[in-house]
Amino acid sequence: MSSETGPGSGFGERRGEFGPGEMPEKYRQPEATEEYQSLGQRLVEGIVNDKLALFGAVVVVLFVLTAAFAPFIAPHGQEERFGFMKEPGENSVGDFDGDGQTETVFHPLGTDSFGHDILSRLIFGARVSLLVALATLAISLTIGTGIGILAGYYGGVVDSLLMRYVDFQWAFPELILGVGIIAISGGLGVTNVVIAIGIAYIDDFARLIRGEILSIREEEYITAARAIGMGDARIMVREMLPNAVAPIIVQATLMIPLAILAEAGLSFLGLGVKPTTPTWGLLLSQGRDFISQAWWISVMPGLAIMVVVLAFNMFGDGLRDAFDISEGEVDER
Amino acid sequence: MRRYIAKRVAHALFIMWLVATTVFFGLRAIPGGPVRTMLGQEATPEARQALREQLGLNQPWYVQYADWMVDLVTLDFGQSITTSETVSAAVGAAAPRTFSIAIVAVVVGLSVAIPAGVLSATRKREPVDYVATVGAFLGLSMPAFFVGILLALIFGVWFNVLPVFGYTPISEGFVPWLESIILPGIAVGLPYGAVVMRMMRSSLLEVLDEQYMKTALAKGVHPRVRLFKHAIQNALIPVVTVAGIQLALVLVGSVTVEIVFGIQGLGRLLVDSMLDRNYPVTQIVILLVAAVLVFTNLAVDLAYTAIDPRIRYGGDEA
Amino acid sequence: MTDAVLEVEGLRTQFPTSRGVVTAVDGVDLEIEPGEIVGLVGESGSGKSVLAESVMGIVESPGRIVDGDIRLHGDSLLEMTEAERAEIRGGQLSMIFQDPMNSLNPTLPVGEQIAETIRLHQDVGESVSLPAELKRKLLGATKNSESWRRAIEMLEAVEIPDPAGRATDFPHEFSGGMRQRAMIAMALSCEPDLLIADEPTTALDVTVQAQILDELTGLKEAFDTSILLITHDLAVVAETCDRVNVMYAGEIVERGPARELFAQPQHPYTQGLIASTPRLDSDEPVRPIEGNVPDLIDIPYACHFAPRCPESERDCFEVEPPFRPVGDDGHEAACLKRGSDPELSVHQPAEVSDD
Repeated sequence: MSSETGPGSGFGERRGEFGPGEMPEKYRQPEATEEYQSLGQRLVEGIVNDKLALFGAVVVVLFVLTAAFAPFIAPHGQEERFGFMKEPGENSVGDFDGDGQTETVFHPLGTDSFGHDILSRLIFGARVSLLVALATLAISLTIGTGIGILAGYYGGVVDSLLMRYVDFQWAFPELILGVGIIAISGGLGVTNVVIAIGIAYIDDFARLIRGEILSIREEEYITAARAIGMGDARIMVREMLPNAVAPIIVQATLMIPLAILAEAGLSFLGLGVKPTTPTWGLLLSQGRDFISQAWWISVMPGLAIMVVVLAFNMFGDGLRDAFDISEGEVDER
Repeated sequence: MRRYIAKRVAHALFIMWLVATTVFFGLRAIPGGPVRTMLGQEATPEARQALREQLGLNQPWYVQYADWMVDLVTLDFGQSITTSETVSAAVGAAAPRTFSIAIVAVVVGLSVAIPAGVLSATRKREPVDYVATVGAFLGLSMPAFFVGILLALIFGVWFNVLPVFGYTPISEGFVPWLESIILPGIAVGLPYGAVVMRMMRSSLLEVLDEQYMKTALAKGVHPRVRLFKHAIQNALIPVVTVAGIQLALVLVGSVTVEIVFGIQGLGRLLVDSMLDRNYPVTQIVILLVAAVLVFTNLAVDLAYTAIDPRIRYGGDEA
Repeated sequence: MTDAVLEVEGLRTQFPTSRGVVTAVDGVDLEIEPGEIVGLVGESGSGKSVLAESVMGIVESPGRIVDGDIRLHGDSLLEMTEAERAEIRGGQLSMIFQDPMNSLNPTLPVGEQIAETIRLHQDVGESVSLPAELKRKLLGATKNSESWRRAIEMLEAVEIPDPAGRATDFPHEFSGGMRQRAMIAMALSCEPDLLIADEPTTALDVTVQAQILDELTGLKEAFDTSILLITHDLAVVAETCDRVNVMYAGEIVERGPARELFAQPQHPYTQGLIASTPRLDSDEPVRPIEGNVPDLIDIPYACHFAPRCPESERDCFEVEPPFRPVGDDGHEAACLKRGSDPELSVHQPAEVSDD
């Protein structure tokens, strides 16, 4: 069974009370293998353990819920009028609903120059801001990812051309694009804003995805896929894309706050949405004229923007860490 | 390295050419024709004809294009439609104001961000780090114009210490100039600095984990020397990238902040000229913004040659 | 034994983690005599790198040495201040690492990285203060300085062509083998008493490996340095080392003269290692060791190898096996079933012995 040659011979034959893998009862430990955690589980664990990210996640959820259920949450309609320029915490007294009786209406965040309740306007504004952000995200994500994958996968001339376009587009920040689109379309409006910002942020996604694809491209399962004759398109969609999903998600989460800020900027300049669409940026801009008398008209929407953008950033950061984190890290004490 | 520089410069010029061409065709893509939009419906045919001639629109497009290119290169930007000045004059008056804000923003932003980032990374998880990190998060969550509003409110309205309206050219004295742009500069510099600081922090943390830092430790190098001589230059490389990319943010931020502080800079010029259909001005402002972005990007690329020896001497790979 | 260069006694190094305390080095004794090349062999996870870092004093926090002593020429390193240890690090005691690609700073010229070491540990009259070092970094090193001159000499000693020209080059301009030579130059520049080489050839091509090993052996002679060669590659150890220590799961299980240990391995783990190494000169089937390296958190049983050992008995789990002589010239193994006077005998009568 075992030959006489070689110093290692003889190993492996069971010659003791316990063979390989066997041990006395009291030492038997449960298999300390790391449980497989699905991506979702790992993410949740990562976020819950990171206080900042958790705070961000909670606020994001609140924001989305507020936007979704705005009509049910807002205390008043966004066009309803009460007392003018009431300070936060004040009441308006008067007959506002035309029923002959005077009411007292409480305004936690005050009212603006038209008498609108700011809290209600903010809540409805959340809805519009979120929708605009999501729409711009849809554009930049799809186009940007498409460009990135093609550039990364094919390399060579395709890559050069696409990256040249990306560089070129970078010379047109959303501001300029906003101006251009307004000039061409002839007016303000949500669609313009969405297109302008959507195009402006294509390069972020394109560069990110291209980078990912460049590294994925060298992986062996890609070579294997090609070897069995998988078509290019299939490889890109079925093999590469799923593995690049994590950075896409992180980038998307970090894009939303950028989109909100960009829309706010455009609306603030008067190049954004029509004056009737109550985005937070517009609300901020409308308060500008009254800054010395009624600072809250601008500051409230500004704070709202700040809190939501902050939350998305913290959450996105936490996501990024959660995706990269390795199990069983050494504690720092 | 010379090849690298030459390539980057050529690339920048190419992009500028593309931009100029796009603006040219973009103007002509305006539905209803530029003239009609500029003068409105009620303009007389003679007025329209005059404008058309002035803009050279009655010539074949390739002639117009050639003229356009020549004009750009010779810096002959034409006449403003709604005011009586040349486009150059209008832009020339507005640009320094915006650039002043941008420069102050970058200087303030970087001089706070980089030390803060280094401090944060070297004292990871200590109170300093938490304060700086949260501060950075807050900073990058606020649009520049909102910071501007807050600053104007605090320093202008509540404590009346700084002017919050108008711009004082540097010709009237350095201090008055600084006073007029310090608030807008900080407003734009804060979000910019926040982004840079976070990158500085994370980049330095990564570098400190690198194998060559362990080598330096194993050689007995003093901790301060390890940080400043061995780590920082490596850590700055991605920071330079981010600082460059975010300059777009600075420019856009400057433009919005101007409105808050009533400074007649490029922002005002852009919006007004657009609303007035004063397209000769609009297109030059667009080109100027693009040029600034493209060439600062180039400057960043060139900065790499100073910081990253791998670019300076593209060596052979092992 | 007091003229030993390095004495490690009962060293224990631990890392607190979120899952418990990892004992990476669990009571290790080691000795290195002047002029020796000593090998430290083990798989990944055996603790060999942590052992090296412990000796150098560069264990990453929160890891720390909790027990034992380390003596360099009789002086206890653990009783010194950090400043005193920093003086020794790079000077009398130096280390080279596995990955030459990442072990050199990409933003400093190679010559400068060597000169810096010289400045720190040799008396060349050049300042090593922060301002002075920064000045050197920004303006480029002064080529006339003594440290630079010696750096070039070192590059020459490791056979790098055109040393004076190459000294101003950056690491990315060197090939992998040359980078490792530069690391060796840096480590030997202050004529250390002991050089620790952690997997010096693992990241290199096979042909370059041989060159580097030759380099190391030759330089050992020239600079009168002892070497602790850490690797998982048995062939490398067999080729170059005078004596060998075999490490498993934080413990040394067998040690002795290299030739004898490889010819007559005694500890079941060593036997397993050798059996699992493919050989060109025999038709032996390659037999892997079953099981996995244990989780180093709170190992409750005495001999760390017992669960995977084909010969384990109940006592192996209960009693810490001491080192016993199993051959000539200091060949020892820590196994209850080995040695001239084994505490436990083998069960099956048909024991196969190797001659």
